[in-house]
Amino acid sequence: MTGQTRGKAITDPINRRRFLTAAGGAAATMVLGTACSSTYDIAGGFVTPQSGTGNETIVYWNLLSGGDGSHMQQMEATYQHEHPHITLDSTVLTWGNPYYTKLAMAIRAGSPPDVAIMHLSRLSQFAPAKLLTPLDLGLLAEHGMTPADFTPAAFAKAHYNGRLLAIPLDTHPFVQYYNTKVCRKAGLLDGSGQLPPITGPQALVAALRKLKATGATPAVCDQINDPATPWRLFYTLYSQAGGKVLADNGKQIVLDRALAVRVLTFIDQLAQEGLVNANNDPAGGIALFQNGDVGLYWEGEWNVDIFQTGGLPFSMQPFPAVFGSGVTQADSHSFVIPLQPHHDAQRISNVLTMVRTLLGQSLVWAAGGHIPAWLPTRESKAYAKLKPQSNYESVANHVVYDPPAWYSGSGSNMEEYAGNAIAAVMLGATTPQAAYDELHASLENLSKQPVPV
Amino acid sequence: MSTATLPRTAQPVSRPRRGRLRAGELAGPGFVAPFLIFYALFLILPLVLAVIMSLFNTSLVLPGLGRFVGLHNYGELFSDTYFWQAMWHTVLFTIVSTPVLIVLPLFFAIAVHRLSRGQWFFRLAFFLPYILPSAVIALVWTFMYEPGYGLIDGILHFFGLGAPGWLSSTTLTLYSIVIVTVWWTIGFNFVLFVAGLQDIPRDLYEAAELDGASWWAQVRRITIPMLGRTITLVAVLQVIASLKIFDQVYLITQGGGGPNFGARVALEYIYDYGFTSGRVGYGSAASLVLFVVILVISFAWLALVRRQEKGV
Repeated sequence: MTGQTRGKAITDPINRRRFLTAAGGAAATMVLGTACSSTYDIAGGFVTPQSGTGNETIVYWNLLSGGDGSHMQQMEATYQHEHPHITLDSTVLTWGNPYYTKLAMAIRAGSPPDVAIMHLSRLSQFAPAKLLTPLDLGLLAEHGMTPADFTPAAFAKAHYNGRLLAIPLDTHPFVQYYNTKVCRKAGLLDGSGQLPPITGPQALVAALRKLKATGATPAVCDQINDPATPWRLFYTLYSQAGGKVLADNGKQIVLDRALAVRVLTFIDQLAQEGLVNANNDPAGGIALFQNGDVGLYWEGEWNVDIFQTGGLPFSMQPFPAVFGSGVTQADSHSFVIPLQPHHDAQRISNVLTMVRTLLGQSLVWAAGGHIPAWLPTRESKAYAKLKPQSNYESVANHVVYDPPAWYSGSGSNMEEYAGNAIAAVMLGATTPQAAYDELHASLENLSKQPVPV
Repeated sequence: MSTATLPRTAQPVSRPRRGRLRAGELAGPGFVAPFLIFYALFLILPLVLAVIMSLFNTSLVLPGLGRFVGLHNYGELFSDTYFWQAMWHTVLFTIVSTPVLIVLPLFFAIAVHRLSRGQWFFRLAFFLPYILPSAVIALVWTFMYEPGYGLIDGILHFFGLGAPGWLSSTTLTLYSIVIVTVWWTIGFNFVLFVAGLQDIPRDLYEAAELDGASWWAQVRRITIPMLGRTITLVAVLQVIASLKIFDQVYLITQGGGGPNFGARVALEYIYDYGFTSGRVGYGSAASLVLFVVILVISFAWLALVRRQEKGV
């Protein structure tokens, strides 16, 4: 009897053999499949390039998913259509730290992409390690791009130690979305149905209280699994008050205690009065605002697509000038040419032509919310008509990028450490003083680490 | 016949057969060689490299080993509160998850084993989550934990209960991930216990029943002692698996380690410093420390449960 029960538990050898044969066959097919096609596309699996070999291929890495991803694909398709003899091999990787880690490793391993998207705030990590190819203005001009064609703030940020290392594609600031229906109910809109600019802490608190009185959630911001957003909120307010965080490329912390505590106290007041609901992850913030019972939503402008598709009555404007000036935290997507193991002028020329073609379609890109860095588009009538995207166009001239350091920039350790400390205040879970201490200690921890670049 | 195959505590004794021994002399090493090559290439060599790199300030983005810094990396590591915080989270996760992942599957296995019909359904039900990839688990549970409109909060609200911040509390996040892990991996231990239960001869229970032993007495006096080896195996495997915690935490917290690093575990610290910050030398030092800790805890634990097993 026991023998029988044991027998059942043992796998039938014929089945196993059959399985192994089948599995082996499948594996062999996959290997053959890879050998025949030349690339593996993260999104689409194994793909065979349509045409072209060798220098005729441009390998392009980016971190653009969602709405940005589909806009970029549309722009790539236009390029591909105009340049059928060149194969544009585009790979989409996960946003944030993993992307930059992979990019750095690929460059160091000697097999970098020909061109990659990079946040300008990340140059301070890649430039000192000499991972990027400096760009020549003359060569750029040959391909139809001059410094005067770009938003000055973004173009200036594309330099490191006086050398141009990137071609800016856009400026993407922290902005204020507002639900027009809820704001009208609260009596906040003017005659033309717009929300007049809110200036000063009292005005913002008053507006939020009016929204709260209607029974709606006054404002939504997120922080769960998203330390970048608390950082953007804090850094915007703190920069408006005139504060600086780092100096000497991150070796020094110059966080001003009084100013930082003042900003954190303001955030704490919003939390304590229940004026901002921050108990959300990014998807939760979007869902709440989309549900239509929220007045204001503070986030980067890149979610505009979602609410337009969702048919929400909403508009957008620059983030309020709460403390003094109206500067706002922002970053820029840009094109960089990673350091190539062998200099190949033809390849670089191909890349610059591609970049110029993509820049020429900046209007497609702008639909996703980003302010084009390409001035011929930014100053065009077509862009001015693009609403609500062009409402905050002027912000591109008053932006503050993350302070340069090897550990700072988009999705970096600094955003993670600082954001974590600030998030606790947004939830009303800690005092502004304690949050300041933690913020300072975590920045101190980062700045004291030996510089790996 | 049936007495001959009766497994005492199921230790298969392989008896060498004369005829095949000579062929086996060549075939053995031949079959093992491919594995050994990969083992040396991808395990021994990286381990040696890690030891070497931990003494240098090796960078991910700069060529070469970098500058020799002696034991400086270790000094920095031991004085970094973030490192100890992460190590504690790994240990805490192990302390909380291990007992649950031994007792619960054992309970369910005994319960299912007593069913006369439909055992296959429960075996499948318990094992199914285990075959899902961690990325799917993370996605599903992030949706369920979503504040306000998530499934769990929805149910709590329905009963008029307030919901804690499952993934937004500095203390609760790690426990939320323990719950996910229990649901995800319970099937593996469950299957081991079910297999162990099938090895216990029926006649023991029949004899016990004739003697008038209660259900609980049978479990305590027959099932648990006869499962001794399986329990030891599960306990040791579980401690090692728990100490290696990384993917659920990384995926659920989106690589951030939870609010205020409240759920950042040792492996994620290593990832953050070794890869994200590009400090491969320092990251190597941290992973070697974790390696030693896992080794020591595993051996101590093995010795402890072995002794316990002998005591029974």
